[in-house]
Amino acid sequence: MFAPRAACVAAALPLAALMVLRSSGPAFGDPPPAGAEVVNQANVLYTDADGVAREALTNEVVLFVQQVYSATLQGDGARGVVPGASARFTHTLTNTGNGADIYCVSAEQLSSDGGEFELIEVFQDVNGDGDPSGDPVVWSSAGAPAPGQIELAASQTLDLIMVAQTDAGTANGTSLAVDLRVSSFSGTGACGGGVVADIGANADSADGTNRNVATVTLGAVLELAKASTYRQGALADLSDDQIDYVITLTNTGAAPASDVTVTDVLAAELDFASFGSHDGTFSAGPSMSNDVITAGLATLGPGDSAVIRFTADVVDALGASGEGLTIENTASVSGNLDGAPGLEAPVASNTTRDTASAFYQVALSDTGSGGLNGVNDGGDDDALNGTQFVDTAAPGDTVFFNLDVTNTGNVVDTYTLETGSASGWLSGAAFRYLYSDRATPLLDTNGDGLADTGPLAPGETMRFVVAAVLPSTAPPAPHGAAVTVTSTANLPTGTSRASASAGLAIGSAGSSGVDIANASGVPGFNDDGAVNAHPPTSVATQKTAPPGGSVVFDLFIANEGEGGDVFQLSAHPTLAADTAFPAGWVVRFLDDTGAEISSTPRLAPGDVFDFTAQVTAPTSALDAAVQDVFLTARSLETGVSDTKRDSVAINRAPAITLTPDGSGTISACGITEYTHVLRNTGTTSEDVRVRIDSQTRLNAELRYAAAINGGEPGGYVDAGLAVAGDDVAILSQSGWRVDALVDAGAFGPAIRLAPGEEARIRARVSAPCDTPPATVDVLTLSAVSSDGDASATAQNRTEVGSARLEVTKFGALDAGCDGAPDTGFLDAQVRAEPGQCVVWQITLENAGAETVCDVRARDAAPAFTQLVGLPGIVEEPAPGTGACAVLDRDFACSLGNALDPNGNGAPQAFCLAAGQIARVNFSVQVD
Amino acid sequence: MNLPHHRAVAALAAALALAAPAAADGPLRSELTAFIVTVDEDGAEMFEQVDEVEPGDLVEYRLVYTNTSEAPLEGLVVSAPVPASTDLVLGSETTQVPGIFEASIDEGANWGAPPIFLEPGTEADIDDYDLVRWSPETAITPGEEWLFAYRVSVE
Repeated sequence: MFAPRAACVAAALPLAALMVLRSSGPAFGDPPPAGAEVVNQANVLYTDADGVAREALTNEVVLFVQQVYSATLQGDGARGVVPGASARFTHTLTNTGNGADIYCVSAEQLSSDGGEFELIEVFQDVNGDGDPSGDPVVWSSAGAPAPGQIELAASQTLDLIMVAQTDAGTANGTSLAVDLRVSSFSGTGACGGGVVADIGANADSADGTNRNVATVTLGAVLELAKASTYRQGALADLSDDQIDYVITLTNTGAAPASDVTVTDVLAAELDFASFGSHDGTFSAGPSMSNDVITAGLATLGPGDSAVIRFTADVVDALGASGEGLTIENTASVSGNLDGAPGLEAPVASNTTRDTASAFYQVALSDTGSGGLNGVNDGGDDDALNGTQFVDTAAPGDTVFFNLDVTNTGNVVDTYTLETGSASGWLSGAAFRYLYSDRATPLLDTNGDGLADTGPLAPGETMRFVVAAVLPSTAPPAPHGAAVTVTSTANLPTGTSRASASAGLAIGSAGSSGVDIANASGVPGFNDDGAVNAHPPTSVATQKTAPPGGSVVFDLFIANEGEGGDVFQLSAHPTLAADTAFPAGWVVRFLDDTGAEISSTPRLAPGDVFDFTAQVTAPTSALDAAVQDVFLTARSLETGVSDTKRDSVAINRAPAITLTPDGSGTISACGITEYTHVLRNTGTTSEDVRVRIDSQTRLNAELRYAAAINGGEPGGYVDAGLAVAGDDVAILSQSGWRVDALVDAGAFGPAIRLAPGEEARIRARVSAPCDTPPATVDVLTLSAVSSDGDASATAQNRTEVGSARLEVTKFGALDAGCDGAPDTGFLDAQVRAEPGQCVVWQITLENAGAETVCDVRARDAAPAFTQLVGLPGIVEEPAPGTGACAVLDRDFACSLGNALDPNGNGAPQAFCLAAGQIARVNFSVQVD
Repeated sequence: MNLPHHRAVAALAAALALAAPAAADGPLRSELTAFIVTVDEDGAEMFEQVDEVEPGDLVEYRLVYTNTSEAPLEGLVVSAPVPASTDLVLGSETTQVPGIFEASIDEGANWGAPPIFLEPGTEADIDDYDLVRWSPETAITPGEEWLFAYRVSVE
């Protein structure tokens, strides 16, 4: 496992386990070699404001893999040796980095042991037979002992054999020790700099150091060497590959060994085949049972040897599951070396390492299923036959073809993707290669300029998608192409790369068609292109609009083609698409949410999209003018289009009404109000002002609703004080809203009413206290538009009865706002400081001779004051049925009792008989 | 970034041949960057934008999407591969955008919230993950910038 970057990489990282790289190629999950590229590019699908499905790729990010230096050295050794002979120690050096490295090799005798070796040499066991004979010397203690250097490729393993010669005079039982030292050179540029980790038996704590101890003995010493020869067969797989093994046992000691047993457990990658001819005198075997080879020798004299030969078959499926191709095997020997009862510890041979042949093979196939006819789903619309078949496609479509690529070799491989031999429609197509999600692109992971699969383990199948963007016109069939996957393995020059191909085919080109109409049920609409529902030769729908007004046309578009499509929307005054509407005409297309659109979403065959066209006429449009509106749906993918013709007729008809006329009776000193509805009943927007045209006898003022209270108009204000910008309550189809009075220039502030909108106007008529009974007053109101095009009038007839109801109102300061006036109610005007209160008292007295009914006192908190508490009736004839109601700043109190003034058995409410008095108090606080 | 010459030429050829959507196309601008993640002495993470990595490195990929249009863009589905020679770090995905995060272990044929189980009790190997994606719940509004990030470890 590689050390983390510097010392500060997050320790919790789940680093991938490191598998040993072999010359046959990387196993799946191995670290990338130095110089490799890690390529990434993301993709996004989305829908734009027009409802069109789109996609976008990010920039490509390429990370270049740097070299890391790492190695292991295994392991400490212990041997017996006769005086004057040499002891052999085998050590395994493995480059676990991701690039080639140079290693410094040397040895150092220990000063604290029983003596010195005469000569120490370190050999490279190049042929892997465990015997230094014929192998190059890396380092020798003879001469100047500078470290020797050897180079290992990434993941390469090499055995080093140390041969340490003893002096003939070394006493029996003496132990001599020597350390093998190995360090990495390339990572640091100096011997001793780069760390090589000790693995296996490790007597000391130092890295890169294996300690070997030779103990001088006069007994037997068994040496076991194992050699292997890989024989590649003629077949293009492993079924006829074999390995020949030779195990050589030698007694290099001074006494015979007895009860000797050689054991060799076959590697899992092997099947035993046969024994060859052996040398030596065996008391048992050699034989094989359960993949274990054993051989026994009753005795093996000093200098004697025995040789075991056998052959094993390489497992045919080796590598198919992603495992490495290296086959390691180690034998061992045990025996009685000193004549004492019992056996000594077994001695292992060197480990042979053979690499099975690497085969680069690939298969590419259609899916043979998964396709629904007529649906662009990537599936195969016929059987498994080497061609991914799509039965039909529409012009401009992006057609998907699923394909399965399988690594049928025995090593990890990456396959480039190419498309060629295109014919018919596919000859003009643009091809892309995607993951199965049909969105994420397959990348060029090895920098060769071609999209590829990325590494596939042996036996792994990857489904990918070829996306072909078809031209808008289809040439004659057949429509085919071939996709080829090619191995990217680094093979010797002249060696053909493994490749495989599969076909792509489209059966037929689907038709294209579109129809646009004002209704989905009209004849010919959505009929697979048989009839044009609304041909543009005649107007299908005409609507009437005033100047500046808008009309809405319902529209429906049907995709009558056989492929999905998106249709662009446009409007023109003539059938020619390059003509523009006269100034002021505006056409907007709106979806069912009211959002403006310029195209349909992608419509599947037979899908219908409903929307509207809002056509707005200019305010300068002439009365009775007619404007044609040609509405077109056009596919940018196929070019197919349809146009229909509607029109807008201008109808200028300004009109307003002021209703109803009113009539009523009041008493002298009395007040009454008439509410009128001001309504725009025309087709044009109007700025309207209402005024008093004439009044014959009484007094009057106009008020209009300026607020909305509880969903109803209220907050009536004096129209004579209104200025532009003041609030006014307007009723439209969507309900009441508060708008602003507009500035109509010299005309003054006006209420702007769109067609169908209303406002509320009140005329307040009051009779002076000296008005004679039977006086009849006629108040005439007029409503006029600012341009004079529309006007209306209303009349209110008011008669003064013989009843005489006198009203007085006086106030008193309540500085402490405790509700109790500080003085009597003496003043019509009261001075108060901010925060102080004034209590007002309204007195109504029937000063006439007749009973007065429906008596009400209405008032409001004056400007810059607020009502404090509720108004209260402080005096009323018994029993008293009156009550007060408050609405915002206004209040009204009904006063009196139910009486029958006419004596006809029909009592009336809230009456004061002659001479009766009622009083109402209310309190306000100054802001 | 200085690309080797052969890669620059190859990338251009691929763009012409495949007519793939480009990063600058359309109303949605997208950008991908890579950062090495380390931690300082206090345990705080540090990020360095790089174009070189070593085996064992922790790499954070950041995807930034900006709506450069004047209308909201809906239905975004952001997908990205787990590059070859890297392993997805489960739980490393981050974004402030409400939505669903999923991964795939079969080249995008099927998706699920990681960890993905091959069968009950059997979790997929970490090197089986080959794609990740986000499906935001909302539209990206004009001028808005969305960030998505995920981490991989270099094998």
